[in-house]
Amino acid sequence: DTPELEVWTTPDFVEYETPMEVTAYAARMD
Amino acid sequence: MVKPRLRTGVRLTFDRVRDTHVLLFPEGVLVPNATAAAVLELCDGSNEVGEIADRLGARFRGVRVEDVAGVLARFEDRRVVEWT
Repeated sequence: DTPELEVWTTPDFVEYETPMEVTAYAARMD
Repeated sequence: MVKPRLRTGVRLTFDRVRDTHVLLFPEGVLVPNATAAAVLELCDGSNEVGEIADRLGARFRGVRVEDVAGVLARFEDRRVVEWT
């Protein structure tokens, strides 16, 4: 079978750069 | 200087809680979408932009090399990617 290709979407990202944002993010990581 | 790679101290990992890739670096955290993460996975210093787009074509339909170059420029601006 031909593997199903995913649809390409525009690459994007969100950045957390202040210490408070990073700490809040890390607190929710496993 | 045509092949992108992650800068020293930058690590791509997977956040199981959020079910998404995460880029960790000394100054912060960056959360890429699926296609940006796929680009980052190929940033090992051995692929040029066109090669990255070609390889992504095996996984995605409609890959645009302009998108790959564009997000790499943004990653470079954020100092997480450098060119070798």
